[in-house]
Amino acid sequence: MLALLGRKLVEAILVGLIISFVTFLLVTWTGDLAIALGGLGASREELQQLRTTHGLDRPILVQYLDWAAKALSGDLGRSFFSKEDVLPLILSRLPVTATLAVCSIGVGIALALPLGILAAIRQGRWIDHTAQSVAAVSQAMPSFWSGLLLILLFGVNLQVLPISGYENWASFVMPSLALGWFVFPILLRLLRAGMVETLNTDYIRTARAKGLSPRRIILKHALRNAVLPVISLAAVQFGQLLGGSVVIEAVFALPGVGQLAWNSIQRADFPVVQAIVLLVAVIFVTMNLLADLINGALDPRIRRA
Amino acid sequence: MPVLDVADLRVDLRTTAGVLRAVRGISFSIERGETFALVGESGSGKSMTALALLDLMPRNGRRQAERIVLDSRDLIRLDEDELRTVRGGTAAMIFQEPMTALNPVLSIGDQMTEGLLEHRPGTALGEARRRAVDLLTRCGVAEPERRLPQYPHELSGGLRQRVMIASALMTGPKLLIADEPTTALDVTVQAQILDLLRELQRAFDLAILFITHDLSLVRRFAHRIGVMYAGEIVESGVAEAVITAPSHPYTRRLIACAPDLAAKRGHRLGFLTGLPPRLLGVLDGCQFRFRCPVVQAACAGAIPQQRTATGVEYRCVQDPQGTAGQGVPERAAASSPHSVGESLLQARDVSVSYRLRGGLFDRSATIQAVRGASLTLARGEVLGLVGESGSGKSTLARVILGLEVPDEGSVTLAGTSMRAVDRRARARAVQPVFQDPYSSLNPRHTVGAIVRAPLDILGLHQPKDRARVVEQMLDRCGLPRHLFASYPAQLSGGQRQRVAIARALVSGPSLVVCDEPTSALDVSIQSQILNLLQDLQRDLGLTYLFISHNLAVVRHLADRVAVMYRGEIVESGDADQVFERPEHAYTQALLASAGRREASG
Repeated sequence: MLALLGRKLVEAILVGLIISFVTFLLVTWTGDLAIALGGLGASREELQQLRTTHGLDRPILVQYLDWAAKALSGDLGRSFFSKEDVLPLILSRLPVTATLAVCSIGVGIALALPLGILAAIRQGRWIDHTAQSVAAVSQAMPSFWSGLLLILLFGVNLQVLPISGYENWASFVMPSLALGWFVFPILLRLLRAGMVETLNTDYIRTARAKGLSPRRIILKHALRNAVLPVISLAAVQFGQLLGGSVVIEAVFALPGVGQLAWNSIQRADFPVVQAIVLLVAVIFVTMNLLADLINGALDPRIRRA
Repeated sequence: MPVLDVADLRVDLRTTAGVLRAVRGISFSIERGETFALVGESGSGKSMTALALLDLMPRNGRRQAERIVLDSRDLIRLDEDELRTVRGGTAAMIFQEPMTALNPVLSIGDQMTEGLLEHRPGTALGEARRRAVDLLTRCGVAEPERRLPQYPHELSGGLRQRVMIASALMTGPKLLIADEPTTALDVTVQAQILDLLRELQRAFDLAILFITHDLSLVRRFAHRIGVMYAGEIVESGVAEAVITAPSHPYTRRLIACAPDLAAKRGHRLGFLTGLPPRLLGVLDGCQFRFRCPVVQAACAGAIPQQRTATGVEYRCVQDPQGTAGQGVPERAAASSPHSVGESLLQARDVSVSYRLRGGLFDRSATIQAVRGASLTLARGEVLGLVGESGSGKSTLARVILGLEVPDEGSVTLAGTSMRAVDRRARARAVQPVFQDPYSSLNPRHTVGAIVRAPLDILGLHQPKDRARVVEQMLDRCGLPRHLFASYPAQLSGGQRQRVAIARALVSGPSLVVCDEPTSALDVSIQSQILNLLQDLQRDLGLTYLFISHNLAVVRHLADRVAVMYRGEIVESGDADQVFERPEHAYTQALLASAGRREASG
């Protein structure tokens, strides 16, 4: 178990470094950072000066290794724009994004789980058709639009929820609904398909022949098998949400990682962008690891000594 | 009073094509300590009957019956909640696939005890587990305590079936419904499981409803047999009487179709032409009349009434005497021993091992699939390769087909090494026929295109002649012409296997490797295919490497036999000699199991 964890951790760091190297290349190839730093009006000498002080005149690989070595020791550099240290900057934004991510995935699962099970056991009936139609509609709605609709309903017409900004828990209700509404359809589809498949297996027939109650058959025998791929997907989605939702944080003016990323990209604040990419990559790999661990706990065939 | 008394049971399935009459008014009863076997081919309604007793049919199924009395309760009058107390309570079921019939994510202990805990609320878990251990012991499971925390994938097929049986007995049922419980198991394991069932039947005075497609299996295992065809029991009676003196033409044919382990090779099997009817809509008369060799005008009238003959009851408008002569298959048409020529194929000391792939950092394990196997095949000969699952017979076949490069050893075909021959030349010389005609034919190509492909690839015949060559081969393989433009999905299993055989033979190979070619087919279809293979071999002077786990089939077809066990060929020789005087202990055990399976009492 420990060996597995260690191995996965090494994998996570490797993936993070590879991804950040790719970002590094993309950023240096698509624009001149010195111009970003000095502004369009900067003179040739000023630009040269900036390149020397920030080490931008060195070969890309050297620049990258320098950054990577510092990053591994916890130093992610300073923002070009605010001159703050990048790490505390991102960490200050993380709680907002993390809260939003947890609530959103919670909403997604809370919608997908009962609906997916119901749709599967009433396959082909009205509840199944309804659930699938709702899923199709929700998948077709861009989250900024569903966000705006929510604002119109709860914020403008009913005036029960704050429209924007970050004050208290109420600020999270609408963004979580909008994001949860967006992630739930894929979870629902996967769970429904898994449940339909599982309910047709021989071991469910065995369970029925044992005279078990329908509740037990569905929740114990079927769900435990059908939920395995759903967990993997939910973990990936959760990782995505933890990286920050640029659109929803913009719509609701939430000061999260997504908003920071968006602002930094606009300002060509390279160290911040680079650090966020690294963070997202590491979160992603960690979430996959978490999914593997949960699946291992639920599925004895994956669990190995 | 019988434990189970079923009268006029009917099951309808709603399908897109209409209402399918899966079970059409069957009646039977089973006494305490008695085994009643329902025998039939796929689609005969035997499994649907088993499921209908406890109302476990698929969602599109509806059952009706005059009565289904189990232990003096009429199941037809119970509601769903009451039925649940019967399922796994008074009546327990075991199924065909021990590999898939147990839930993979729940422990053996959990799955064994949950039924008892559900049926007898208040039972202490410790008590339930003690009973599980006790029953596992009775079912011949070693170290029963150690099994409870284990999961299904950690047990072998035979062990899983023992667990299933033990699990079924937890609540002390009076009726055990066993749906093909040994079909998925190797022959030695089959014999053990049947012995176990018999022993438990005596110990617990169980009534057993045994569902199977295998007539030879029930001969002595069952006390009474009901033969099902097209949703009806066409004949029933004491097992020995039904098998030795069958009265219904279908039973007669079915028995004639099955290869017999005791018979010498060269016989021609009996066969049934055509396919079972589709049971849609209103059905009149005897449904066997479309395939019956002794059909009369009266057969199309009313459904024949039950008649009684020596020890059996059957539904046919004719007297058993009247059908006697014609019912016996043409076993006389034995083929003359064909000439065996010079050596065609030689495999020497072939070894193949597989590496089990682990993850990036995992150490990989190696499995030795074939170890130093040698065999020779003379031109015009049929070599039967026999072995149980995992014995390495299919791997050896893949080496001979050139689909697998052996780690060690060599294969020479007509004097040249397989490694020296290029892909095309090899494909001209050796062709395969695989087990599963459902997955071995490309579903998006027509029959004609499938059979033509080898000619195009290998550049055989003039392009303008190819269509004619394909037609001739399909005719030869007995596929009706109107099906040449069909897709595999539109064909029956037997028809698909005919296409697979035509595809293999169209390029004129000298050696055909048949890997379990009839294992997925019903007995009556199997006999058609075996007869076809036999005819083609004689007419075209073919050489077969015939791989099968079914000893009777190999006995029927093979001149020589090689027995594989754990990757090695442990015995080989003349078929008569190996079957009658086996030398290796494994061969003896294999034959004993097969024989016991068929004839034990």
